[in-house]
This record gives sequence, structure tokens and C-alpha cells, in this order.
Amino acid sequence: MKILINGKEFAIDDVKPDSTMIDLLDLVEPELQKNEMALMDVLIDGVNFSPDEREAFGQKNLLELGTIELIGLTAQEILEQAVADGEEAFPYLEGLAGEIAGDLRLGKNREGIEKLVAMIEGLQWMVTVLQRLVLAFAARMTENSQEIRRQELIEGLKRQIEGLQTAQESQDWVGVADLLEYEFPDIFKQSRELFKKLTERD
Amino acid sequence: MNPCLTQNLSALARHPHVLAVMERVGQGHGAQDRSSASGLQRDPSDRIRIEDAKNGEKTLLVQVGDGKSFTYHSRYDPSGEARKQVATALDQQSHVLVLGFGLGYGLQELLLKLPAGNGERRVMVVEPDPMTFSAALSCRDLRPMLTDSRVEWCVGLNPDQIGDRWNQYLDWTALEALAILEHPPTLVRFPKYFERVKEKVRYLCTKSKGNLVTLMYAGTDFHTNNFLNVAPTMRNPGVGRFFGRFSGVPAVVVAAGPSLEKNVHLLREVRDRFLVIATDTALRQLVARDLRPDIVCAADPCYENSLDFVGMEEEREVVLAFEPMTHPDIIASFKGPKVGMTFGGGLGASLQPFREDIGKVVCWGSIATTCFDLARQCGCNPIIFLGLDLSFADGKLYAAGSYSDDLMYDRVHAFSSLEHEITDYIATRGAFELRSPDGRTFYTDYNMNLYRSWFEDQFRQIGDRQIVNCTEGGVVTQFVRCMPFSHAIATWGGEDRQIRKRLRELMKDPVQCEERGLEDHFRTLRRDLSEHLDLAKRGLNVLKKLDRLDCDIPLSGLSGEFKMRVLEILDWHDRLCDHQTLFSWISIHQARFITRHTMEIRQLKADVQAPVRSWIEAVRDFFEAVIRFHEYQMPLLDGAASTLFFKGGASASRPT
Repeated sequence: MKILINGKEFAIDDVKPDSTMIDLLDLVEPELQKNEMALMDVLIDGVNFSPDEREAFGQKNLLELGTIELIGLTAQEILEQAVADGEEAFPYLEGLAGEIAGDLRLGKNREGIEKLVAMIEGLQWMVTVLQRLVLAFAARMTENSQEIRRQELIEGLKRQIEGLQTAQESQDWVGVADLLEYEFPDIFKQSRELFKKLTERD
Repeated sequence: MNPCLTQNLSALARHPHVLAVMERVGQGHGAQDRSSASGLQRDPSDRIRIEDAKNGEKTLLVQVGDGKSFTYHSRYDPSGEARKQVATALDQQSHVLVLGFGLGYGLQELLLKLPAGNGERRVMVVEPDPMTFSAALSCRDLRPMLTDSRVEWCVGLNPDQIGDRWNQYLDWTALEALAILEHPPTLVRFPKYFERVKEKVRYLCTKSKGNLVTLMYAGTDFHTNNFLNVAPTMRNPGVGRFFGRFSGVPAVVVAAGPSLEKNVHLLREVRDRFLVIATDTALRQLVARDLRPDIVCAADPCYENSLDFVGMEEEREVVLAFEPMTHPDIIASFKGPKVGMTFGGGLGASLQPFREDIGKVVCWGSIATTCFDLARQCGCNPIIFLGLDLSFADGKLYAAGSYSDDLMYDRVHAFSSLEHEITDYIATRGAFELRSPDGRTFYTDYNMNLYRSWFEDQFRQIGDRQIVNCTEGGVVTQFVRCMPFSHAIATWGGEDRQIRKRLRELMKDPVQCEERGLEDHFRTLRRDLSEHLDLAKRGLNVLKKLDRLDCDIPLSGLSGEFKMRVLEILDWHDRLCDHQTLFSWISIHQARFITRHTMEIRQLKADVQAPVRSWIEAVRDFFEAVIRFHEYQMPLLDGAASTLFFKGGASASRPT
């Protein structure tokens, strides 16, 4: 059994025969937190797990495993990664918004609603990242225009998400389609530009 | 008044049925329409608001009773939205059903894409909410759509009314493919209504296709029999004499399904208390058990069905109700009392002006549908069914003893049996599997399944009396009360209603008819037929000469004498088609050709570049068809005229 944390080998004393992954995480996570890190990825013998999927890997016996890799990132690193992910995320969200709008305008409500779940998750991801940008890019956010734009984007996004949810509750599918087709593209575009500006200065 | 509304209402004048609905809205009645049977449950507290979209067009918001509101059209680009919807729905279909009008953006885009045609109706618009339509009239100029002759409007109608307009105004010979353009917000608002509309349209499409196919295969038999039966049709009273004369009297419609064997014996108990109307196929089953219906209905033109009456010739207690298309052997051999009935087509319409009303009844494939309609029009209540299995129950086609057993016997050979042949028949035809409410499985075929749909559709619409299915089996379970026949007898048995005596009384008066008038009419038709023959022959001669000229140019490129000749030929063609009676007869005799020819001419008229050659070929085929028709029709007409006799003035004929 080999345990790596961010690529560095981590030794454990007194591994009991019935020790499980949960026990390992109970040991490792406080250490990560001391370094202001959060556990982002768990790789067990080449299989990737999210830290939230404890039910899937938590009871695995440590002694039966080969290699365990744990990836911890600081908030800054997480956000930097999220911003970098934006290059892929925004086109995906734009495409998804267009698909949902198209489905709803043609009366394919079931297909549209199924995709809307993923859409809303994506939008909430955007809100979280935008809200925490200061953590990762404090120095670069000193420009007023950047900060103002960030604030406006957060306000706009929250407003449109609320509008989306209201329309969805009313089963106003044309309203949902309108927001996705005409309001969100501009928000995606501006967010993408902001993210690009932040990463360009790297 | 709002100028937009005024202009639109003026254009709406060409659709008086829609104008009437709008007038009711104007009087404040539209919002209260709540026809729950059709699914049009418009909440009176629904509020409609027109708003400006971002691109300057109008959109509509509907605020429903619980405070929620939803948008009918994009608040940014309603036309753009409609373009996408039309692009998905339309792919060169000839006709379109528009479900939900809203403010009309969908229809507007659709009409730009649909070929102009010759102005015949190609689009049916269904808008369930008169208030929404009124809002549209108030805020947009809808005149181009309201004056477009391709559009048929159904505003605020229930699904059955829509079905009636569909039947009346759409030309089935021109319908190649149907597109459905849905307005999603309207469908979300009235889901049950549109479910019913789609069900109705699906049913009507199947029915019309079935009717056309029947005509193609059996039209000549129908038509020939009409002429062979002219004398009995003129001289016997009609079922019209029974209409409304049995109000409140229970009727039993006896069909020949396999379950009939379970309870047919109980008919003995209802003699003279219930009006018993049997199908032709059930007659032998009844007589074999020493039972007699009051009326037996016959309409099948085929020889095989006439076998049902072999051995029944002397059944003088039974009234034979016959349609002129019935096989003539049945009418000629049956010695009992007879009454005529008409399905509305064929020669019946030509004979009607020359005699008292025959009485129009419905027929939809199965004679059981006619028996039901007769009971309905007589005013009977309740209408009880026996033997209406419409399925292959217990491995049988019909109750034992019907002529189908005789036909099946013909297939039996050394290594099979009657049961074997019947089972084999059912195995190849029983394509539909149905489950009854009590969980049993039944098998039925395509035709019987259609009849079942028809009956259920009729039962659903009938509101003023009870429909009871005492078949004690089968697949007809919707919109009926199902109960054992013994229970129905106990419930409605009641007093002796002297049914037979009443029927005789109604039939006893001489038939009022004008045989001389009919003879004159036939003479006129004979003359017209001869003129048609001459015109067709002349036309063929002219076409032979035109063949030598350059016929690859379009009509618009013609000039001089060539042009004159071609236009003359086309005029002769139109004259032959304009004779309503003879054209309807040739359409029956040559159903396949006329259906194809009508579509060809429509396409040629729509294509301004169509070469003259195509016109010449189409018209030549038509003239040749007219000549074939003449050879068929003239002897029939002469034969029918010879069976009539003239007594001078209005005549009263003794029934034959």
C-alpha cells in the first residue's frame, strides 16, 4: 500500500488490519485544513472518486489497496482551476442553454427540463466561482473595472437564475426559453472575458 | 372600437361561425364557456394581457387562476420563434393541422411556406379559447390570414364539432400528407382538449382512408345494385316513418358476435316489449332458435352476404330494412315486409325528390352501426347490445350458424377441420391485443378495432339516453353500462308495448312517389350521358391532332390555333366534371382513376411550368374513362327506367 498526497509519499504508523479509507481521510483531512487546503480528488488504484462519494470508497480496507492518491488544493488553486475550466465550461453552458431553449419552444418539455437540472448546477457553479474570485485573484481584482464587472455579473446572474426558477415554477416554458436564449449568452460572454483576463496575467 | 379589431372583424365575416363566437365574447359569454366533456376547462378567472416584445411585436401573457402567469410567445422575437417551430413541423406536407393559434405567428410563417395551390383548404386551425382569439384580433392585423382561402377556422369548438368541419371542408383526394404544427403553451393550457382533438383526427383519418379504399374495391357493386333496386326503393316505405315513433322504448341491437350464444335465448322474453333490430348476419342464428327480430338490416352488396338470407325468404314476421346498394337477390327473394333506408350517397339522393322521405341512417363499415343508428333515430331508450363482441372471443368469428361457417367449410380439407380453419384465420387476422377492465385478453382485427372506436366515439357523444352492453363479453366497455341481459330485462322489461303492431301501422299507408318524374329525370340523365360520350369522343379526336405539335412548352407559351384547341379541350374536360350527378357516378365506377386524376390535375394547375404534353395525357386518360363509364352506365340506366311504370300524375305505389 502506497499513499501519496499531492504527489508526495505519506507514511502512516500503525495501520490496523481493519483500517479503511474513512480512517485515512479522518487522519489526512485535518492536516490538509491546517495548510488551508481542501481535498479535491481521491484516486484509488487508478480509479477516480470525488471526496463526496464516501459511500463508494469509504469502507475499502487500506491493506487491500495498492496505491492511494489524494489531491488537496488551496482555495486559490481551486479557483484558478475553475477559471481555467471556464474555457470549456462556458461553451458547454452556452450550447446547453440553446438546446434547452430549442426543446422548450418546440414543446419538448420533458427533454428540456431534464437538461435544465444540469444547467442550473452549472449556473450555481458560476455564482460560486464569481463570488470567490477575490480569494484567488485578489491582486488582479484591484482594478476597479474588474471588480465592478464581477459584482455586476454576480447580480445579473443571481437575478436571471431567480427569473429562471420563477418561470420554471409557473411552467412558463417560453419564459425559460427566452431567458436562456437571450439573457444568459451575454452573461456567459462577459464571464468568459473576465476569466480570460484573469488567466492572461499569469 | 379598436381599429385593428374592426378591420379584423370585417375580414372575419367570411367565417360566420367564428364571427358568431366572437360576438358571444363581445357580449361577455366567451369567458364562461366551460365544456368539461371536451376538456376545454377554461377557468373564468384566467386573465389575458398583451405586451410588447423587445422587437416591437406583440406577445401574450396568460395569468391563470392561482396567480401564475405564462407566456404564449417569446418576449424577444415572436416571429423568430415561430419560424423555428414551423421549420421543425413542416416538410413538404400538403396539409397542416395547427393546434393552438395564440397571436397567429405560427400560422403566418406557415402560410408563407405552404404552396399557394388553387385556394382549396389545406390548413385547419384549432384555437380552443375564444378570449385568446379575441385578444389576437385586437392587437395584430390578421386580415391576410383571415382572408386566405387555404385556411379553415375552428375557434371555441369542441372536438366533435372540429371533426364535423374536418369532414366537411377538407378534400381527402388532395391530402397527401398531414403536418401538425403545435403551439406548445396552448397545449400546456388545454392538455385534455387537445388529446381529444388528436384522437378525433386520428380516427377520422383512418375512417376516410377506409371509406376511400372501400369505394375503390366495391364501388362498382354499390352503384350497380342501386340501379337494379330502383323499383323496390321507390315502392316501399322508408325507415323515416319509424323515426321518433319509439321514444322511450328499449331497443336491442343484435349483432352476430360469438357471445350471442350466451344470451340469445332471452330474446323470447322481450317479444313485443323491446324493439329488436338484428344485423343480417344474426338473422339465421335467431331463426334457428325460433326467434324473430322485428327488423333486420341489410346493406352489403356482396353475393356472400346474401347467403345470410337463404332459407329466410318466408320470414313474413320480420321487416327487412334494405339500403339500395344491397345485393338485389336479397330484396327480390324476401317475401316479408320491406322498408328502404339510405346512407345518403348513391342513387338515394337522386330518388329522394321523387318520393316521400326514405330515411337516412349512418353506416360505418359494419351493419351493426346502422342498426344502432336506426334504434337511435327511432328514439329508443335504452339501446341495448347483444353479440357485439368485435373480437375473436372463445376462438370463434361469429355465433355458430352464420354464413361465415359455410365459407370456412369450403376451406376444410382432409387434414383440417372447421375449428382448425377458424383458428388459422384468427391467428392471421387477430393483430390487436386488448385487455378488458377485468384483466381478460381479447384479440381483434384491424376492421373490428375501427368499429369499436366508432362505437365508443358515438357512445361518448350520446347524452340523452342510456347505452347498455349486454354482450357479456367482447371489447366494447367504454362509455357503456355493461350488465347481463337478464338484468336489463328485469330493469326495463315492463309492459307489452305492441311493437309488431306499431310497425305494421307505420308501414300500412301507401308510399307517396312520383315515378313519372323519376322516369323523366332518368331520360334527362340518359341524354346528358350521351352528350358526354360525344364530347369525350370528339375530345379524343382533337387530342390525336394535337399530339403532332410541340407539346413541351407550358400552357402560358401557347398561341394561335394551338392555344385555342388546347383551351377548348380543357374546357370540355371541366364541363364533364361539372355535371354533379354524372361525375359522382363516374367517381364511384372509377374510384381509383378519378382519385389519381383529381390529384394530377391539381398538381398541373399549381405548376405553371407544366408542359402541355402532361395536360394532354391527363385529359386523354379522362376522356377514355368517360367512354368506359358510358358503356357501363347506359344499360344500367335503361334497365332501371324499364322497371318503372307510369300511372299519370303523383302516384301511390303498392310495396313490392
